[in-house]
Amino acid sequence: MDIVGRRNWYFLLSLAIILPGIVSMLVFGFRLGIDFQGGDQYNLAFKQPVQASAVQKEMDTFNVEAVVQQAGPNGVLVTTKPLGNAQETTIRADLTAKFPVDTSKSSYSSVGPTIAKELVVGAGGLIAIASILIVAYLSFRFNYKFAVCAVLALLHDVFLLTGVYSILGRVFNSPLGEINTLFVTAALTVIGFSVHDTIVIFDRIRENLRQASRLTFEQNVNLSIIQSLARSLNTSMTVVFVLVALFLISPQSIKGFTLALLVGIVSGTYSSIFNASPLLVVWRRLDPR
Amino acid sequence: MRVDRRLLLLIGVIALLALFIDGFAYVYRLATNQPLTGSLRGVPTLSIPFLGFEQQIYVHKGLDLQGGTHLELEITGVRSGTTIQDARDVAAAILERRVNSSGYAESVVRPEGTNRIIVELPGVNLEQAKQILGKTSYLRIFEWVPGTADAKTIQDLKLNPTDANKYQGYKPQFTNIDGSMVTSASRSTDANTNLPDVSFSLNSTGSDRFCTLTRDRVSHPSGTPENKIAIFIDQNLVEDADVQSEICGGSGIITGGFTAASAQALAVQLNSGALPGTITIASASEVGATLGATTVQLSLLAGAFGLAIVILFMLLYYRLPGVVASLALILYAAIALAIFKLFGITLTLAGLAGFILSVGMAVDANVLIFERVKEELRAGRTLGAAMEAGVHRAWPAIRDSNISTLITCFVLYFFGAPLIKGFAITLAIGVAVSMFSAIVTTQQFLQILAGLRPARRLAFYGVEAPKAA
Repeated sequence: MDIVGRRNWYFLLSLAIILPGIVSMLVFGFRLGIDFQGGDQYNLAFKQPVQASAVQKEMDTFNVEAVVQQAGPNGVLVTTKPLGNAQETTIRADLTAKFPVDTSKSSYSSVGPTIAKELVVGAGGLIAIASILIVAYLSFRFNYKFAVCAVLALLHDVFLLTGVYSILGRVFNSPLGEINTLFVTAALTVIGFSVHDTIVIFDRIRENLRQASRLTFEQNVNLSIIQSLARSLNTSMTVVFVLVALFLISPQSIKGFTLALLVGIVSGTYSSIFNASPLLVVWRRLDPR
Repeated sequence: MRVDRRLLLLIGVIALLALFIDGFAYVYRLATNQPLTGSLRGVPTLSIPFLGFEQQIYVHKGLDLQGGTHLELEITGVRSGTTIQDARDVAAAILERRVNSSGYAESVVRPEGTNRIIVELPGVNLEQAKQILGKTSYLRIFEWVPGTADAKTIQDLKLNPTDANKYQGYKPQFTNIDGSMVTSASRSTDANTNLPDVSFSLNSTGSDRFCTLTRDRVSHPSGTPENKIAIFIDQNLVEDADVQSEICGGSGIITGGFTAASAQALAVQLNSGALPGTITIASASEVGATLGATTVQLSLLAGAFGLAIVILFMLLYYRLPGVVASLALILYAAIALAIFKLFGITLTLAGLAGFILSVGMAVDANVLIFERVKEELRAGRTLGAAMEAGVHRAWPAIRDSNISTLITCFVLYFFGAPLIKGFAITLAIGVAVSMFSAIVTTQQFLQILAGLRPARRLAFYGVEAPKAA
């Protein structure tokens, strides 16, 4: 199997998924959850089926910008601009009176604009700081080329995931594609997994390079990928199985979260096999020192 | 590397300790017919005094898993003369008293950032939470002095005009003793009349002033307004009592025709004191109890299913070492759970995600070792040598990948939002334990295997015998 030799095809495949995502991010942006733009959100569960349109009609009487979406036959998701304390209480009382709301299965959250702003800055900053420290550590253990390639693979996964979610949320207008704090957690998990996966292959390359052999750098990298393939696929497959099961049984409120993990883990496995290591070869060719 | 008896002993001790921590609380709760989760009243806590460690051992579930209300409050309009941090701490302390005196178990009130306070109230909905936090009663003690209260004074003092003009020719004058000096208040019963009343204690400043005040009042003839002290709660006069003797112990009693409930309510409100600024809700979230329980069930189901898949896969793919790995994995889960319980790590949905990721990494460490062992066996090494080399050669990958993960956890824990912190801490604990599990537990178990004669058939390891021995 010659993975490194066909690297351009694999890079192309990555780009084919990432580029539409980036375009979507630039053109449409994200479907931001209230944690990132401020607002109030009711996740209402009903004792009997209720149509979202009925709830929408009721919300319209309050003259607030409310978006009501069906979430399963017995539930709706109501999202509004930030409501005041008093208005929130009124609306809640009204909805509970007019619809068969099961309060013990419902949830509500409200985020003020200041907190939302902090979170956006925070999430980006965290990924940046973590990336820098990982580069530093890997430069120490391997060398800076390995470090940069590992982080490029990491960024591949972050961009792929956010891109897919931009498309899902804005192009397909699906509530699954909402960017909220849970999504950030999923992205962080994916980053952890991606770097982990990449390092395992890099370790093999490091080891093979140390042993005197007649193989070229390119052949060496390819050999290392093949040698680690069983492990990479085995580990990912078990995780993917669990996540698929989890996605199927998740309640609406965390389906987006499990889906993000699923997309990210698949991307993380792909990028460490088909992107990170072949990138090393590309770099070596450009700069053969 | 041979089988190391001391290491085996260490594994054994840790395993027993972990199982004990995981299990004994349940045994106790079952035996005493108590609920299986949550904090128990009157149960001794495990405490390690010199570490400032005090904890009841059980799984602390986050609000998203057990239902309840989470609030992030912002303090603004701080009275001049105090810094915003001081005001925040004072407000947090006051809110904590309000919450505690309402008797909500496992609630959390803590300062966050420069001007925020986090409040978590399990099992409480948003409306109840607002009531608990928002209800204050401002206690002020007045004395009656000769003169007439004009409308403006009454308005400035924020008093009810009827109460302020209770006595012809006398007006209320503030004694500078107020609710901020109340250190505690509780419902009590009048020994003579058997009626409910409210007793309160004052801090040293309040106590000194109260002592001076009562001494002065006693000097006036009994029955005249100047012999009385007037206790106002908010704008209303709730007690106007004759002073029979000076009171210098720092405590007082309000008897104002209470019912048991209203006395209790007043005690709670007095405990609240006055806030040093305006509190607004910056963010709020409320999770229904059943919703949280569903999430827990789902997580458990996913966990059990995941564990089953992993064990099945390990057994089919790696055969005998798979058994070892499964044992190591179960031990790993037991240790991690014991640590969560012991240190009261709050498990949230994000925390569970971190833990599940760490399980994946623990499995991965085993997979890495076994793949290496297989390679060594194929290369014709003896079982013992192959296992030793396998662990040895897998180590750099395990070390580097896990340290990278720990670096990420570190960044997330110190700079992240609370939700992200929860993720980071469970992941970090999981990764640390998984390194121990892979390198010590799996390795020692493998060495034991290598020493067992019946376990030496290569087929048990999923490897064909090499062509030339």
